[in-house]
Amino acid sequence: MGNFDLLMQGFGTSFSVANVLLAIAGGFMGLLVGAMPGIGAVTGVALLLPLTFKMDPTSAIIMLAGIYYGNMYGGAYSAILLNIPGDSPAVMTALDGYPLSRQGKGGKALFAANISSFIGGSIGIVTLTLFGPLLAKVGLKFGPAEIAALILLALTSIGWLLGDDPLKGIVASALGILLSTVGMDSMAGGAGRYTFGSVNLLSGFSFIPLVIGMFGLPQVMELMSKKEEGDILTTGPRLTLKESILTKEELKRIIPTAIKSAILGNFVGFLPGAGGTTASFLSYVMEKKTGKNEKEMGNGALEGIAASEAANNAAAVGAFAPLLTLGIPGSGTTAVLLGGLMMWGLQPGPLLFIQQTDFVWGLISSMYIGNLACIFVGLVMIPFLMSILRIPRGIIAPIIVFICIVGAYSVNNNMFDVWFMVGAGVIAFIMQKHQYPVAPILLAFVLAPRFEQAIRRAFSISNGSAKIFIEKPISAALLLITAVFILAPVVMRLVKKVKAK
Amino acid sequence: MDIVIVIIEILVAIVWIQQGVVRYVFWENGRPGGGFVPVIFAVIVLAAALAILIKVVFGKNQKETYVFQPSAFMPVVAAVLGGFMLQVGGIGFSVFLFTSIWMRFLSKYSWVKTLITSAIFTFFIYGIFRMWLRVPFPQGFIFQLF
Repeated sequence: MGNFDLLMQGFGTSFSVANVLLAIAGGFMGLLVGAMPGIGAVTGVALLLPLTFKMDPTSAIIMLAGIYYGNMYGGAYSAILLNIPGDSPAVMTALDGYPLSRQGKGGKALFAANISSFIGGSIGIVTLTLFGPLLAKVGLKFGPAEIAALILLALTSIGWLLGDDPLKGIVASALGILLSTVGMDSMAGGAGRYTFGSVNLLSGFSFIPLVIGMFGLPQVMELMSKKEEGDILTTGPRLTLKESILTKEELKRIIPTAIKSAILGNFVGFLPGAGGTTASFLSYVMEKKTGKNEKEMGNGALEGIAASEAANNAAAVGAFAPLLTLGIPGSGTTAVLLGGLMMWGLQPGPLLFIQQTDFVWGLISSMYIGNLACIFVGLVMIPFLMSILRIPRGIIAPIIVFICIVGAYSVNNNMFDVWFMVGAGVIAFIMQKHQYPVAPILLAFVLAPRFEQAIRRAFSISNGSAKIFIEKPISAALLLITAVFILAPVVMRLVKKVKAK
Repeated sequence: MDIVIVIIEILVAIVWIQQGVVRYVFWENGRPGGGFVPVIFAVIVLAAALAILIKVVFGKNQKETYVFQPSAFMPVVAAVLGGFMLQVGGIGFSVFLFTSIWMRFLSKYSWVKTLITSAIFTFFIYGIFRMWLRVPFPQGFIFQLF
């Protein structure tokens, strides 16, 4: 039987009124939890997984697909509306989403996020349907050297692409990496590193308090500093749903970006350990370098949202390929899902596609249903979400501050994260006021541990020889692109200077 | 302030390099040690910070653009107090008190609007984080006394 027939058979199993309602319910809950700062996709899925325990496996996976997708969609909402990314890939969405909200285009930003997420998810699912097992094998060709080269490419481009001053961008990125080195060194048997004797630092700094502090708190500080200048806390612009629907021209701008980013994001998702943040960042970089709207990106470009969201969602689906075909979770969220699958007595791996065809194709078909459910729920929720933008600043300010406290606490259930969040907020505010971009710190912080693990493993495999990076064609090509990225701005400046003379 | 920030960056880089080389080992038995990645990126911070320092000291038209405004740091004080409130009074009590004080005394809303809004927000936070997601917030010292 071909893939298409098997997929249709899967639809036959999963498509019923009850299952569609479960997908919508899962999508709604996923969106809600995904949008809550401090919860994030991994925790969100983990928290909602028990809801599916008492269901039959087909209904359970359909609801889980809705929850999983809802989480992916939801991370963007708080990033766009409150400048507090719900999860790490949404950091890129906040860069353009929040400026759009401040320009009174929050509704359009939400629409763009929903549509791009849908496109990303759809392309990801179709690719998984057609080439899942094949691409999982390609993904396995990415060993430590290739993963290290890929993340190095992302890391080097962060500083150059964000902010007006490349030097400050580089400092911010490198500081993010240094922050990530605090805590246990997993390659040295879990020995503490840069903890300076603090027990709280043994487990390292948590990402969510850092992101809440660096995005959420400075935003309220900004609001309060404007008050003193006579700009009283006033009501935000009143938006109608009609004004928020994307025009034909705007759709023409975002759809090609979303498709390109989804393809790249989907491929990154197939790589074990690369993750949605790498996908969303690389797609943003690609759009900034190759798109027509380079100058607008970072200040409120719909293309920025499209690139980040499409890539993130495509990567989320891509992560299923190594999970199902090889039993290797491609992301933290799929690791939680792996636990769920094993609980139902399923053993993901090469034999799953042969021995459990009903389950595999039921799962893949449920992704189509989950994705459709989420775009439906997401679009229906836009008027409600837009009403958040109309809350007077005098009310929204204390709400944001307390959500920051609650969100930071919820990660590890300790007060240390709250104090860390406050400290990160103060530092981020001062840095922003002195033209240091904050986003590179967060992105580098997320990517650095994977980079460190990969580079140290690669050196261990090669007995300390750097040749491993050059001998392998994929890593060599990625390093070449990295070199071009670093040298291109320098060469361009020199050429400009010579031309000016 | 620019110079202060750069000096802090330089100090952080020096500490990371020193600890990375001396304590966590840069390279050992033909493979990278725990200090390998931190030292490389600390050197990058050091080099970039020195370049910024040179720009700040010798560059033309380097004016301080940010004017310190004490009111900007009010949310920081509020967040610290909010954290203590959470420990002292538990989640429901602290959300309500925090929002009420801010809305009544800083945003100058009427008592009626303040209390209604605070109650709705408390219900929202308590309902989602405590009842649904079961986050184990502190019980609150006050309530433990009774």
